Amino acid sequence: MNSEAISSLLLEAATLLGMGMIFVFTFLALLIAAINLIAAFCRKFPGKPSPDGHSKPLKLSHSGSTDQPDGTTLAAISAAVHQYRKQHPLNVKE
Amino acid sequence: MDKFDVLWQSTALAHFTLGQVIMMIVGLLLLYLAIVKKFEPLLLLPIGFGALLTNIPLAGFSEAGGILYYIYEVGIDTGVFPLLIFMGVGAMTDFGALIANPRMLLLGAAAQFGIFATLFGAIALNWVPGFSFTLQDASAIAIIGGADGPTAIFLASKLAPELLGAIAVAAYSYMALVPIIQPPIMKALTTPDERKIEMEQLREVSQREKIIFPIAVLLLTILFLPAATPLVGMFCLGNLMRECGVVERLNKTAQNELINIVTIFLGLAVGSKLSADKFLTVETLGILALGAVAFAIGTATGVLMAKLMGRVSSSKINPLIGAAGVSAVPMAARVVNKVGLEANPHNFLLMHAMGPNVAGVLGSAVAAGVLLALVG
Repeated sequence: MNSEAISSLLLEAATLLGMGMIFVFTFLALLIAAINLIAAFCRKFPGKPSPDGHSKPLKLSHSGSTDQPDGTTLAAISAAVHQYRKQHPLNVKE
Repeated sequence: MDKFDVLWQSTALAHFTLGQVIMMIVGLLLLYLAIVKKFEPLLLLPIGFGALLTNIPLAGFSEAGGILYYIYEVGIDTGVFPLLIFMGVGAMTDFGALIANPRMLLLGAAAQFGIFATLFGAIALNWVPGFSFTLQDASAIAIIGGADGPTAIFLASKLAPELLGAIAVAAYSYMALVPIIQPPIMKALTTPDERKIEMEQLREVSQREKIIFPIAVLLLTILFLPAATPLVGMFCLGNLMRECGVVERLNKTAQNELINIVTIFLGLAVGSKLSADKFLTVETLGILALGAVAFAIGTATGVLMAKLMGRVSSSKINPLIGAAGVSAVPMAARVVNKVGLEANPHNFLLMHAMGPNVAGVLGSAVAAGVLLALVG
């Protein structure tokens, strides 16, 4: 590679260095502003009555999720559904 | 005698070239580093083994029809594997420390200077006979300074696929060497008094902030740097799955099974690039040297930035945490904690260092995006 080509490449690399660092700093500075905005927003509208801490709502949403109710509830629900289905078509026929 | 000749020709012994033997030794060295020295074993083990396989004469692992060839084409040439890994990393990352103290993002930005300075250095190496790095090559090499494996592989696969093997090996080796490379630089740039500084405790961050954060990051990236959205987008997806709390199964898969599966294939595919004709060049030596320089510069600028911030800011900042700005999560943060404890046995900097540490991940993804947009 001749020295002229290298010089022009070096110039380009220097431009990249300047532009790149300016952009990275600007972008992350914007992100700082965004995080502060989010924090201000969350302070102003603290949401529903689970204000203390971050881990609680997470746990609640697991144990409270309805896709896995415990055994007795499941039994009761399926018995009720069964009963209803049994009675319903009969009622229609009568 | 004819039969004997045919038999001899069908053994590998008759076909070994010196290059292949050397590369097999390199592969064995990587296995040794992984197993005995425990240097990034999750990656160096499959990479080392891939290097063994790809250099077997007659087996054709890395030629069309061989398994490593297809793994590479499917996973790395397309950029899919590094992106899947990045999703897993997102699912493993807790941004709490960063959201509590967002100014730490500036440290993550400062440490990226290592990347851009190395870009300059790689081009300057062209003065030395035997080197001819293009801007693309130089960018792919420089990203080693981001100390982020998947980002380095992603960028190298886009900009300089022929250098990928050397770049990936350098990136992961230096990440493993963080505890050796960083402390001398950190100590040289700080006084014992500065290293003793204790920082205020971080505030608690609500789940809501953590949920909104990845979406905000993605939004900013979409607006200002679409070239980085593959990396940042997958990262934010993983992080959102982690924080939202409603897709626990996906979260677990992303940060365990999926990332493990992809790591195996990624390592093998990178290893398949360790063939003699591509690796045994003077350029590889240049890449290894530049990678170390990139790491050192990134560490130094991070520490200097933290010093500067400590001077201007009202709250106390221990300059050591700046070193964690070169991602390498969580190794760099642990190193900061260790060096801090040496100066002051009651000073636990781990949580404070996690802020710049995860900021470094974002910073290097943004830097990669800038390089892709300007050079790619």
